[in-house]
Amino acid sequence: MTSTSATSGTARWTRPWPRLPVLRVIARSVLGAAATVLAASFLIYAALSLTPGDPVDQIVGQRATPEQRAAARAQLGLDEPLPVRYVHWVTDAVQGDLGRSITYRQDVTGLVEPRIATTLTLVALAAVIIVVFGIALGAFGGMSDRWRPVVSAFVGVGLSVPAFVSATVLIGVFAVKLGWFPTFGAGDGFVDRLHHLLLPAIALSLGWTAYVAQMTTAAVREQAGKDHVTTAVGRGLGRGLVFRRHILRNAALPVMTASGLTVAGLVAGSVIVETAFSVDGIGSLLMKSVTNKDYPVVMAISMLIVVIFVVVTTLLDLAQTVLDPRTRTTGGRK
Amino acid sequence: MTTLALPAGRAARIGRSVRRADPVLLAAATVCSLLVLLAVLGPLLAPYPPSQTDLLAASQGPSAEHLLGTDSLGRDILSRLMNGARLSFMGPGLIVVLSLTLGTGLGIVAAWRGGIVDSALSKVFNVVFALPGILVAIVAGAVFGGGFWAPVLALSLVYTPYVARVVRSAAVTERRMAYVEACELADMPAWRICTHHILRNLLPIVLAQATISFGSALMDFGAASFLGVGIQPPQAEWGLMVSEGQADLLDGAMAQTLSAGLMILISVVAFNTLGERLGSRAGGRR
Amino acid sequence: MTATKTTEAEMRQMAAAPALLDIEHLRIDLPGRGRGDSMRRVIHDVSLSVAPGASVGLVGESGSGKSMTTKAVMGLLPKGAKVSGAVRFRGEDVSTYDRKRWTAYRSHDASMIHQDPRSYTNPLVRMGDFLIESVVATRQMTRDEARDKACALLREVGIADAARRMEQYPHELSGGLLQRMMIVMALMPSPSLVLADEPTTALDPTVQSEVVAILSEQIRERSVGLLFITHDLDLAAAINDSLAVMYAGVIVEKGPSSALVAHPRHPYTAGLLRSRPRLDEVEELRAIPGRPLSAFEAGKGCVFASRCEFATDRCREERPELIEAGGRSVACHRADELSDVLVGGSA
Repeated sequence: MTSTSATSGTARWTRPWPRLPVLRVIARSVLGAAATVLAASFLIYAALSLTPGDPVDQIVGQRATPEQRAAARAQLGLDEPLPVRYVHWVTDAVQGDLGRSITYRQDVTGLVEPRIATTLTLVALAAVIIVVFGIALGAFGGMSDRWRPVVSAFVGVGLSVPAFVSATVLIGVFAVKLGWFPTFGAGDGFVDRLHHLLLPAIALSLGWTAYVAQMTTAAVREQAGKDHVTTAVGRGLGRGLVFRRHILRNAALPVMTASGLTVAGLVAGSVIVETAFSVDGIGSLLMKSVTNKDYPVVMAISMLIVVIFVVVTTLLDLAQTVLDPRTRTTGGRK
Repeated sequence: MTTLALPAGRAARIGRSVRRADPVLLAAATVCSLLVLLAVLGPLLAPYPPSQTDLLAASQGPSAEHLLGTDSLGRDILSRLMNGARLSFMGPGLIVVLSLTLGTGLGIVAAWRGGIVDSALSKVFNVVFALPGILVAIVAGAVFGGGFWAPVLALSLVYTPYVARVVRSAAVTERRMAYVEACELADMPAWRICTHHILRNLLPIVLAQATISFGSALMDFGAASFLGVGIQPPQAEWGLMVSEGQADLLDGAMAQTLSAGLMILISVVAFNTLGERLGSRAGGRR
Repeated sequence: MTATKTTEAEMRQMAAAPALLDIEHLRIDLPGRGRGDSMRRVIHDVSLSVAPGASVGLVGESGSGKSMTTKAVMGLLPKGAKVSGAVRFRGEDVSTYDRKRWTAYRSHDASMIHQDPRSYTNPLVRMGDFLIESVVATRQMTRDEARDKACALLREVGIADAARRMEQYPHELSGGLLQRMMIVMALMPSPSLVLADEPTTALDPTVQSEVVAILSEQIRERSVGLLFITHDLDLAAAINDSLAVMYAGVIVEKGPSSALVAHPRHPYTAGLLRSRPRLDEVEELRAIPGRPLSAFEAGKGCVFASRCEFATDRCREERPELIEAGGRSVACHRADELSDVLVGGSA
């Protein structure tokens, strides 16, 4: 802020970029995120260990001798107290070892890896639909009095349709009645995969599109009423320029937050849609593992969902701090 | 004196605001009451017992005997819808009551005590915020094997911090009001100020939050049943009916899925609208 | 009354040249805020003109409709506003402007400096981009030309480290600095008319006079027409050639600054003059009794009647016209009787 006399005049100025506050903000959020993930993982781990019934039964069968059972227990590490087992799990998980599936008798990592691509494709597809349609609808709703009722009606209904209802209705209409799309599976190859995943992505995105449209409408309306927009209009800037540079740009932060939150929530939402469409991603694997009481897999996928959620929300938080010049130079504002 | 009279004045204003006619609010309130009535009386009014199977009349279309047709086991869809209303509403209702009680309590405590209590609670809430509701319901289903209570308790836990956050921020504002100071100077015990004055002033906000949470609880509870970690067959519940109807979908029979889905949609729209209108009234007076 | 020969000659000369800005019997109604509310009148009758290179001060309390007048001139009235009368720029009625003409008019002919520079600048746009965006978008200059001109203007308004300031965001600048930026913004396209709406009200008192001095100096150097809106009669008189006093959506008095301050002809003007604190003489400070009315509250009579100590029944029944005599205009039934009663101050 304060100018020093030596630098005014001929010397060219470099942009002021105080590094320390930003670094401190980043460090703080990364630590916070790690703590959140740890606490959440412990909660889930502890909850799953409360399960009635002995997991050993599933491995050695109920007629096994006590010695066999003890051996199995030791092998699974079940003879140790919960906190110790949890620490073991975390240390292994950090190194990429998520344990072994009981039903598939295979490393969880190997089970999850091929399916995660399917889920991420589905999520990415849904995210594109959400961002494109949500922001477009929201912009219309925010700028045009004629469109606003249409958009708000869509928002009202969109927010009220659970994904499992939209999924089944879409299957009934577009896959069975009209036969335009396959009813299940994820497809092979890029085009076929898109064809298979488009309907699930629409089902997954409906509610979130409504949410983003709602947030965008509100943000655009708020910005459009600001005084600085009056300045821009009064200077003869064209409508498009005023909208892009002075309304949308300023509305971008809340819109980005809303969109980012949706992406974070999409992975959890994909569990429902994958089950409805029998898409072989980590979501349907999670549900199968719940049915089979395959807890290492349940634990691993739950943590995956939580980690993705926390990472995305943390990145969002950071992006806000870095992108808003007002927080950038003062180093975080509360 | 005037500062102490504030709560009563506010309470009167809530009454007035409801009486002042708002057609949308009125319509939403009417639909909500009808739905609640359906949940209470549905089982008595239904033409058939919900689990009465008739394999000879399985998978029929709508007829005079079965207005919405029958499912693949020959059960009357209309009767199952009417019976299903009870479980479909009782689950979310309980979730709202539990999370509201816990969340309001924690929110007021956080606002009243501030300092370490406040920041500790907010750290705990942050952990719960990182857990998507449906995931917690799934884990609970994995542990307890589905049923009514597993999703109810899981979702109550997940909803609590949302309520607490809203209540806390409103209570912080309320805490700074002059009438609270007047109560403190009058040596009124803290719990009494909280319950008699702060809570009463927060009531409109809590009420609005309750109706909005009910809408999302309805969707999440239905999703849990749909995924098989909630209500189990042969009981009737809307989310479960959507899932059961999915099997008939491949034969082109959409009645069950559509009707159950529509009931959920109508309920959520009605309760969300009601909550939104109540909320904007509660917010507008601040 | 005592119009000297020179002012009469000046007036005749002004009348011959086409006015830069000519507002004639402007009346504005705005839609009510709530649903079903009727229209609210914000301006009853405003007529004033700004000659090329001249500066006119529009003085009035808040709610008198002076900001709404500038909005009408810039075409920034809210949706649904009903306007009658005319706003003419160089003889051309702005209500006939199409979108293209509006763009040219706003980006080149007329500029506006707003009240609170903080809220009237986009917090996410660097000052440099902000200053040049209008002239670049309307292709009056290339980016480089615009940047050079902005730098030159910044130096002229006393901002030495121009290059650095152009890289900064509004929140990094003080209010006074920001308002100087706004003056530069207004001068960028070399306009022939500048509207300044209370340009110093939101600033610290210590920088107010500095900003006013810079503004009036820049305007005079370039012989730009200025419409200066303020609630401060002394300030307006100090920097403007002529003044118009506005109350409740009506112009009650117009005239050359010095004459108007020395010999007010409307009781409201006299009241304003009397109610300001003076440094040079010890005198009882007399506020105008009652609270200022908004335009829509005015009845059929004179808008000032309810607060006027000279009001008669006629004042309450019949609204006086703005009548011109000897280079002065006043809207008061009793102007002639009161000419010796009303006391002014020294300008």
